[in-house]
Order: sequence, then C-alpha cells, then structure tokens
Amino acid sequence: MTTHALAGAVSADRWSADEALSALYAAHWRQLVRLAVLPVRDVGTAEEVVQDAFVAMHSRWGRLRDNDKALAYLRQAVVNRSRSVQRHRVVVDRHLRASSGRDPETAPPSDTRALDADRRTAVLDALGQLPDRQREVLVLRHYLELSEAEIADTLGIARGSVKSHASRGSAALRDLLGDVWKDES
Amino acid sequence: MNLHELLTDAVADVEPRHALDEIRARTSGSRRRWPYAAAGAVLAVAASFAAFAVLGPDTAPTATDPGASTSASPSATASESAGPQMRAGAVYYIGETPDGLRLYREFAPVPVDNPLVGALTQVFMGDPQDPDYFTGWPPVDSTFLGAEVVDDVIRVEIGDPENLLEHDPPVEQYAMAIEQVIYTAQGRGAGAAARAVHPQRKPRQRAARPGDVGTARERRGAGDLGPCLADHAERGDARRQPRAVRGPGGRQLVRRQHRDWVEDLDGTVVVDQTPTIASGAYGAKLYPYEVTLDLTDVPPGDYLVVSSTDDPSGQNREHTDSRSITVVD
Repeated sequence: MTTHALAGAVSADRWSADEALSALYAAHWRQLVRLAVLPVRDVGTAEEVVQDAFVAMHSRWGRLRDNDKALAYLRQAVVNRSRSVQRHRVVVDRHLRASSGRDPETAPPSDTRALDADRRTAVLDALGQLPDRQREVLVLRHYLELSEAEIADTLGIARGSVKSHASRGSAALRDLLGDVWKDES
Repeated sequence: MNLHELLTDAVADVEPRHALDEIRARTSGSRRRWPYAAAGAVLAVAASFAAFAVLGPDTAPTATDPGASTSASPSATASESAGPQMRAGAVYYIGETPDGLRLYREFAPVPVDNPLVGALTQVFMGDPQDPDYFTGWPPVDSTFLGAEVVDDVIRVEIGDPENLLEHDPPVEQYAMAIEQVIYTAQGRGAGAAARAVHPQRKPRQRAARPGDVGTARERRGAGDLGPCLADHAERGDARRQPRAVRGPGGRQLVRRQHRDWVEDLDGTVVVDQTPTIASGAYGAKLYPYEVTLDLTDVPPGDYLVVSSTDDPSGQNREHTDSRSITVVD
C-alpha cells in the first residue's frame, strides 16, 4: 500500500457501495441476466445468479472502488456461479437417475415464451453440450464481445487457453448446430 | 447469422424482472446473517485453552504484548440497545503491501454470547471498514457454516468445497484466507503460540473436504501481519488536540523507522512527526511503537492519518497504512 494509492482510495470512497450498486444495476442488470441465461437457461435461476453476484460485489466495493473493476467482478461472478449451478444440476440429475432408474423430467424454463423458438432452443441446447470453458469463452467473446485479454482475466486463464477454447468451442458448436448455423450463415 | 447474432437472438426476449429492491434488502441485511448449518469441510484450528480464552482479552491487550495493540475504538462499537449484547471483537483482513499480502486487524461488533462465530462471520462476509482491506474468501453465501470449540480445538466449518474451488483463488490469497480464520478464531494475533491445521493441498489441486486433516505447524512469529498498522488512529471525528498513534510495527528482522503524519484530501501534509524507531529487541517479533500527532492547529475537515515504515533495503518497499478522520472543533 502506498500513500498515493491510499489518497486515491479516499477520493473514490466518496461513491458508496449502495450508489455503485444502483448505477451498475441500471446499466448492466439485463445484460448480465441474459449472459447467465445462455448457460443456465432458466430465467429465474439466472436472475438469482446475478442477484448473488450483485450482493457479493456490494460487499466487496471497498476493495473494488471502481466501476470497471466492479463490472469485471460481476461478469466473473456470474460466469462462476452459472457454472456452479450447472454442475449442481448434473449432480442432482445423476442422483435422481440413480434413485429412480429413469431420466429426470426436464423442468420447463420459467419463461418458456422467451425460449420457445426452435433456433433459440437449438442454440441453447448446443451451448449446454459444450465443456464449461469452451462455452464460457464463446459466450464472453461472441455475446459480450470481450477481448481475449478480458476473457483471460475474467476466467483466470492464459490468453493462449482462450484461443484454444474458442477454436475448439466454435468447431464443436458448428457441428452441434448443423443446419441452424449453416442455414443462417 | 454469425455467432454473435445467434447468441444475442437466443436471449433477446429475456426480460428479467426488477430486482434492485431485493438486492438492496439483501445487502442491508447480509451483514447480520448468522449461518449455523452443520455440514461441509472442516478447518480445525488447534488452540490452547489460553488461546481460546483470549477471545475476550483481545479487546484490551497490554502495551507490552507485541502485536496485541488495541482496537480503533472497541468500546465505541459495543451496542447498548435492545437485541444481542455486543462488544468489539478482533477481525483480520488482508491488505496488499510491497512484500505481498499481509493481515490487518479491525474491530467489529460481535455478540458477547458467541464472539467466535460473530468474528468469523465478519471474516467470511468480507466487509471491512478500511477500503484497502479485503477478505480472501470467495463471495459464496454458504462458505461459513459455523464454528465451535471442542476440547482445545476450534472447529471452523466451511461449506460447499466445489463452490470454493470454482473461485480458484490465487495460492497466496488462499493461504492468507486461512490465516485470516486462524488469527480471528484465536482472537489473538502476533505472539500467540498455536498450531494451525491446514488442508494439505492447495486449492488448485483440491478443495477442502469434510474431515480434512492437514499438516500442523508452529506459529513462531507474526510474519503474516502487516508491518505497519495504525489501528489506534481512530476513524471518525477527532478533537483538535494531541492524539496518540500506536501500532505493532510488524515483524521485521531489522528495526525500521516509523513516520506518522496527517494529510488532507489533496495529499498536503498538515502534521508531521519525527521518525521513530520502534522499541523491542531484534528478531521475528512485532515492535510496538507509539507517537503523538498534535491536531491542535489543524483546521476542521477530513484528513488521513498515515503511518509508514521505511525500507532498510533501500528498494523503496515502504509499507503504509492509514485511517480516515474528520477533525472537529
């Protein structure tokens, strides 16, 4: 900690965590929920994921103290929590399958109207079949349009890994989407 | 359609409901939430009876106890209103220094009938008063499940190892996060001889599991504590009169010079103090120091009290800590 940094911190400290929360919510709530929907599908679950991220960001505002850092933190938290939700679902599904001897029924998403188009469903289905990292890299790159460096920072991986996951993910997604992507291209 | 258009189209109709009020309700109430579930991984902190007993004395350490300086204002944070009776308890957070991460101490209100859980809740919630401090624990609501003292062992239960692993903290931060728990649980910082049982592997390899038993190691010094800590410089209003600034000084193999000053929000120094050498013997210990900053001639307003140690190596790795104050008539 340097004196310079501390002096700066006092200045930034004038913007409270509550004020930062309101501003970031107004600017990014909808986009972050949509970002979470891409992996988790269900809108209600996505809202919970993003809510949790905002609550965590608020509690860490004293460390972040900067809108850009806070937004990066929110993205990271949404990606991480979405991944946790998905993995939890896998564990639950496996347990249900083991205990009932049959596949669990797939609960319809809470907002079926938003996801009922065939193409949209196909895209979300295909994303769901990708490995976590490939899906996360593709979403951050092609939905949020983050740079490789920003993606690497968000996911805590090397830029080379970002390239690798993007390349493999794109190829896999193209195979999975088949006509949907080819026809629309 | 390219992939951007496909992904954008896939969620274009998603219109999330308004949730700002819910989030605000959670952020205003989260600091008082007390999780008590009984499952998950266990971080066991071996402690002597004395170490457990110091959960109380940490609010009033003696001046001769290296590293055991008192709070910013322990009595000021005690609650006399209805509800749980509160007192000030020591909570350790992480701060960045030129030499890496170090622990810094704050005092926060904790319930008299369960200071252990109260202080640890603060650690896991991670909302320090000082904006330069932070907690090393990830923002997972179920991280801290509870703590109890069984015989001479403090058991700290941590939930959902998968969630902890997902955050994949840097190894140094993970190590300091564990130290946060140990220092806070023991209620006593530097000089407390105690053993800590750590999960054996680092988080990149494996998260803590239920029943983990790790390697025991002896804490000999206070190398995890920030070398400079102006925790006697109270936040809030300050009278225009001489004012004491004390700190443990930090572990150092050579004595360092301390310099303390008051600066306004533009960085102009309004009160300076002659550099002071911390007292105490050489060795891996903390060196308590105390200086007096005279605020008599300082105009009312907002200031920073800054405490700093020099770097005898000449590499300009000066450690600095600060507190915001408001000088009033």
